[in-house]
Amino acid sequence: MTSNDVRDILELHSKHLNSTDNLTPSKKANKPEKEKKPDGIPRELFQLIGGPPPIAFVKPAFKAKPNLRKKAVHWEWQSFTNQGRGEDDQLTLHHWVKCTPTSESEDSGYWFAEYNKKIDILKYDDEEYEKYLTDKDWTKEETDYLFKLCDNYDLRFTVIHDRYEYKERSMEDLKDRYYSVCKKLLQVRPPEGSDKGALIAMNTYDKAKEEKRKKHMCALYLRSPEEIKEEEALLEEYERIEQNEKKFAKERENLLKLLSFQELAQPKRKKSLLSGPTTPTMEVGNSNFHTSTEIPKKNRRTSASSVGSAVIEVAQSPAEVHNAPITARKEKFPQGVVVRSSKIPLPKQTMILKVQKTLQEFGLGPRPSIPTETVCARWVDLQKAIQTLLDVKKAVEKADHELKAKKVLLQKIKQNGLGSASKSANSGDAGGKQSDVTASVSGDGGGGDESSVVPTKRERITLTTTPRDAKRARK
Amino acid sequence: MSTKRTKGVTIVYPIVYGNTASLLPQKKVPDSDHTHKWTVTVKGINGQDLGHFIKKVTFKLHETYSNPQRVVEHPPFEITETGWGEFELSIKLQFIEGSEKPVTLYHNLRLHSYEDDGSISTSSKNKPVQSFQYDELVFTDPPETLYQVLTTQPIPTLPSKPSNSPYSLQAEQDELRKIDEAYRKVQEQMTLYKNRNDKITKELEEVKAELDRIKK
Repeated sequence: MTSNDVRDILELHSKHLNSTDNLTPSKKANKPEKEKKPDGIPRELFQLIGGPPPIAFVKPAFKAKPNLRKKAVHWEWQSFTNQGRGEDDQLTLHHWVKCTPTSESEDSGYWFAEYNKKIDILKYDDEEYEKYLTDKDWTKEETDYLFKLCDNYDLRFTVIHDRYEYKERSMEDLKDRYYSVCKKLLQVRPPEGSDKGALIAMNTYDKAKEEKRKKHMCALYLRSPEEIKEEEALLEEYERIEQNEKKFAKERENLLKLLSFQELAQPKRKKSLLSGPTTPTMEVGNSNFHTSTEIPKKNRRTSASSVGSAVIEVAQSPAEVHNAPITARKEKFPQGVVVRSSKIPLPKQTMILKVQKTLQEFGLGPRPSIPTETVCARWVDLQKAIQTLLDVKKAVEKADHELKAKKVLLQKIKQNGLGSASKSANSGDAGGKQSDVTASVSGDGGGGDESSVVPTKRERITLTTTPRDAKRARK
Repeated sequence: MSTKRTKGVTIVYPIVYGNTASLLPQKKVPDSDHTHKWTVTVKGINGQDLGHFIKKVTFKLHETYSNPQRVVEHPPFEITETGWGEFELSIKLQFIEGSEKPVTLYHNLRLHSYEDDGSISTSSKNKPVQSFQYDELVFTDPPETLYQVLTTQPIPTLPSKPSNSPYSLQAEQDELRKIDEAYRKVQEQMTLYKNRNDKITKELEEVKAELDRIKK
């Protein structure tokens, strides 16, 4: 709002009519009102919103009333000794102590002293040492030194290892020696009241395992973020494979069953060929695929014509028991009338199209054009065979894929040589205790190959990701 | 039911069903859009009547026809109509023995002649179009009446050579041969794939063993 607008509203006349003394103060008053408009927004918009608001500091109004009821507490400068320190030490220290009406003026002991716990480690005498505790690697002197340190530093092995000045020994060495000594002592000493077995168990120390574990921990700590990501992805894959493993195993089993069933079916048919010529008047088992069956068939036709041209089949004759699968098929028709072509079993929903396509390739339509009994029987067999073939095809392709993948894997490992492969295998294994987990899982049946895939895949990936890794592998 | 069934007996009666269709000469009734005249029949393979064991046949035509359910109670079991479109119709056969359930056959009415690949042949052939299907009615444990009828009257057998109908023993043999051929090929493929499978499983085991060794 300019001053002119204000004047308009207030119905003041133009300022030029006023005396000049008003000019300067009004001008000065005007200037601070004119804010410089920021560049980003149009003038009108700025005049509407008015720019950023002014910042206001508000002091907190609340002031707590000070608690001035009590009088000043009296404190006393007292001296004390720390019982936690050794007896020979007579260091006196001082500290301020609050004088309350209930406090004892004499110090009842430095109250932090009770926290100075001391571990009672086992002590052996020379006799016991000679009898049970000799070791080719450790002299008695060294063992005594070790035990003294253990006592001094309360079995804090990091400290002990640091202060150890006898020989060059690793921490695992020291621990190993200490715990084996303790274990031996416990074993040979007369049994005490408490559970000896538990004590012995507590004192068992597996040096190799500990060393390995620490190495793993270091490697785990030093993993790069890429390695961590890779490992997580692989774990996920592994879990998925585990879940689907059962499914795959079942499918494979079914296929094998199918295949073996097909083989079984074949010899059965051959048997019925023998029974064929001997039963000319009966419906011959249509189970064989040699043209020699045409003879018995013709017999059927002629005999049929002789029996008033009615094709009557009496079921369950003893000769036909051979052709069990075929008569069974006949008997499957329920009582009543049935149209033969409608009785052809259709393949599974998923397979229908594929089977039809295969039939097309052989020049056959979706249904037999002359559905007589023989034709229908053979048709059904053909359909079944096609289905099994398609299943086997699928399984073979799957197995093929698996094989190819594993071969590639193997090649890559071989390329990088067994040495670096084992090194990277360790670094891969050191990806946490996951390798232990996978190793233990591989105990059961089919999980073995999957678990072996996981670490080796890890190796393969780590080996080829960065040049640094490749260099490392090459070393 | 009181009708006894002849146990352990199966009687097979072959039939042929389908339609013929011929193009209508355009002059006659120009206002109707019917282009073809067709006849649907159900007969024995040599043109025999089925009246001795079939009581009536119900042809269910497309709903656009008036009275789509056409019942024929005496032979010949056929329907003649005119139309312009092809559709699937159902043929329900009911037997003289009421206790036997009726059977239904389905047939796709064919008006146009088709090339081998399924496209409509454009060349005008004046020969009537035929579309028939062979099938067999299998009577399992037929009741008395049917048994009597079917055993007294001769059941047609497939002629050995194709004459006026395409269905013959020879045709059956041809079909069987084709099927056997197909079966043989399938078996061949099967053995091939089985061998492949065996080879692959063997290789797979070897590779797995190697991987295990390296892992250790």
